[in-house]
Amino acid sequence: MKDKSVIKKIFSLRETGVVAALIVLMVIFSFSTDIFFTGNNLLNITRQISITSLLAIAMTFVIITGGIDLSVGSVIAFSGIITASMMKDYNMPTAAAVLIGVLLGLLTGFVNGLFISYLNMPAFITTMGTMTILRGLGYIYTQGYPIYDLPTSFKIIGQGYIWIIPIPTIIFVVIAIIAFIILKKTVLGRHIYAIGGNADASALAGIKVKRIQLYVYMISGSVSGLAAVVQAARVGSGLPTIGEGFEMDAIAAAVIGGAAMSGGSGTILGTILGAMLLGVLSNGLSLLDVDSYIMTVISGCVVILAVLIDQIRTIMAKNAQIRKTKETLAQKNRCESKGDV
Amino acid sequence: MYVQPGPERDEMIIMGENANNTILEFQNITKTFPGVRALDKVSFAVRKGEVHGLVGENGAGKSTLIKIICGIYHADSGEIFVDGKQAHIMNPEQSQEYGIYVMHQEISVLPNMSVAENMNIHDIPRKGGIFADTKAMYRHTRKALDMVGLTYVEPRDIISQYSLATQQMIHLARIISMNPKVVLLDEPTASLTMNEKQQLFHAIERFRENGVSIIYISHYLDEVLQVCSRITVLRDGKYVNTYNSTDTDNEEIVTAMIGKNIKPERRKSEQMGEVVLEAVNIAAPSIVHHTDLKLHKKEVLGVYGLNGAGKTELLRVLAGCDRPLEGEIYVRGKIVRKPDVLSQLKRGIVYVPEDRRRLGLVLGMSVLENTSLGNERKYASLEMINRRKEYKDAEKYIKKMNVKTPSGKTVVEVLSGGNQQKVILARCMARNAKIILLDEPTVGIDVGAREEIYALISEFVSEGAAVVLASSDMNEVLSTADRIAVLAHGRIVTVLEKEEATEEKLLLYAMGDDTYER
Repeated sequence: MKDKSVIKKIFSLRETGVVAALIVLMVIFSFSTDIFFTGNNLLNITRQISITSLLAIAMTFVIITGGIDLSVGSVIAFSGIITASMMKDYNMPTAAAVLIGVLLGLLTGFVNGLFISYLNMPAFITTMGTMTILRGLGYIYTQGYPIYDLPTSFKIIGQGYIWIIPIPTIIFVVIAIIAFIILKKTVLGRHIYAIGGNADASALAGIKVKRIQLYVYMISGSVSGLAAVVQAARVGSGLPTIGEGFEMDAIAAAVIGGAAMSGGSGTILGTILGAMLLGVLSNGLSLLDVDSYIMTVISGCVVILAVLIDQIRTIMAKNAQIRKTKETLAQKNRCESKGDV
Repeated sequence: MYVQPGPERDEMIIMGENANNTILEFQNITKTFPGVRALDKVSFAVRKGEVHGLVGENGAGKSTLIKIICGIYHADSGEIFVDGKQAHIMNPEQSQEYGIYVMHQEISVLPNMSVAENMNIHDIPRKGGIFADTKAMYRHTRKALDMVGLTYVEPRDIISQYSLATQQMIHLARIISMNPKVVLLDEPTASLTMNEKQQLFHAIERFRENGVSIIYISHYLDEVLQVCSRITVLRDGKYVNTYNSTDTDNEEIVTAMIGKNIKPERRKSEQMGEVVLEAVNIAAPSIVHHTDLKLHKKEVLGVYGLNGAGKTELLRVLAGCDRPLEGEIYVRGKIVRKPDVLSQLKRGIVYVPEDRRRLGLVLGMSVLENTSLGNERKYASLEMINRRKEYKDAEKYIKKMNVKTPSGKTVVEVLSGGNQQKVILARCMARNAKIILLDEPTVGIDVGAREEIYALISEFVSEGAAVVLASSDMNEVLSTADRIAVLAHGRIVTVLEKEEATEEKLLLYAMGDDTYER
């Protein structure tokens, strides 16, 4: 009995489908290429997905509340540029520059959150605005030229290793663990799920809905700021063009991982798995020498497929519920009519 | 008084003796839903060119009957005759083909389109098959608007610039332009001011003169007696009687609506304590007007009123959801400045909303999480929730409330209405609420769970809390409350002691004349 329920539980978990897809893909790539299933390549994948994963973690917080943050890609460019410029043009120490990069992200999130929660503006429009503004500011600041020749102490953040593990991997794993704890264990996390599930009921129960919305965008902004630092360190320069479309990858990862755009659901584990699925797909296909344009099409298909599967599961669950309710009602009616006789 | 019972009407009643004069007839209409018989062999007839009132308590079967007439529901058995011929109404379009139109309580408009477009949206006049014939559309609209006396409404204006009342009249104009035989008006005056009502009554009178029959459904008896020539009363899904409005009065109709019910068993009162919540002269947007209210410790204060009387609005002000425009709220003798939900919760005031699925619960979360919703810090140290502690505590209250759930971790969405409500009450108890504001706490809940909820209210009170029970269910208020405030048109018209409260009195006050100018 108990075993059965455990199996049932595993199958009903949202993440199961992604894990299964991930395993299937990995098996396919392992047999079709020599390089895929080597320690080096697998570690390489974790580094490749670190930026997307960080942004996806940021996005998960926002999506759980039913919002969206389109500005994360532009934060990658702008925060990266300023961080690079602080070191190159103002000779600032690495740590201080990194801090400024993260704080810029936080500030962006604060502005987004202020407009969205306290001024009741639609998240999509607000963050689309900040996205465009930051992109433009990046071009103005650099006049379109990259800022390079950055100190090694900075570049190590994106390119270095601790033992054999890439530092970006370590950063995203640490952030993922912190994010997991916040969402699962803290009052804030519970309230994030609650306002995404039903903001009106949460407000009546005494949850400070607006403040939590603000916090969520601040979290998203600062994690994006950190991702910007990692990205700049990895390519060794501040680029005004970088990060374009990254917000879409982040949304895709979160959605594949089971987050619903309507809010109330989504997990860090699912999001990381979603990012891994996209990363493995991209890595494997490039090892197979598949055209990168085709890869773009495929990743789009994966997103739609993931949501489709989730939709089907929701409908099936609902139908089962309706069937059950009907049965109980019919039973009740039978009892009542017997009672009349 | 608008429609004077003049010679015209007497004439019509005499003519009514002629059976050919019937436009709409119901014969033995029966409709059952799982567990309830909503309509039980209802038969009555509406004559040509009469205004026919339809009254009954909440749940008497009025709305079911309306839905059958306009084809949303289908009767299990019985026939409808239109103009002497049996009618098979399967959907709203068909009912309109028979010439039957309904003006629902809440009309829906396309807010960004013009008056003319709103009125013609189903059949915009065309030129050459594809182009809208705007001129013809404006012409038709003008004519229809003039019919109901809306001479000041311009067809090309955007509809949302007009008041709700005018929009309602515009809708009525649209109905009239379709050449109806029968028009159903469902609570048409719920949101109208005195002047707007007069306008509506004028229009009704004009239709009647043109031979259109009106079925007029309203909670407000004075209005019904004023406007209608005959009044049909429904009670518990059954037809009671049809009265000529010239030889009946409020009392007779109220008695017919109530029937001879068994006296409900009343909750034993506790020894009341000091005043814990007092509202002085509060007013809230559009609905609550200068209302006073006092709630004592260990008291259940009933707030009885018909739908739309302002119960929810009043409770929301007390709970801090809406800021009062005027007046003061005192909690335990201390004035509350700028009340909001959070500060009222801290004072121990918890609001339990009527729409529990939309406002009470986070449906996707578990029973336990919903029990501690908004109160998680009670179980947290350094912001980290101690789940074991939380679940243990929540489990205790769930057990106390007798919530029937497979487990505490079950998603609250799948529970029945009664159990969902008990989860919300468990939350009140876990919060140690001192003043509980219940808004229609047993709506949509089966009888068994209902009794349990009444028992829980008694328990709350005996443990020192105070409860405001707002309800449109008369028996519920009579059996549970210590005092009953009757709310009509956003005002508390009277406060009755338990001993003096009867069904008749409650209904008479609640359906009373709206003599105040709003």
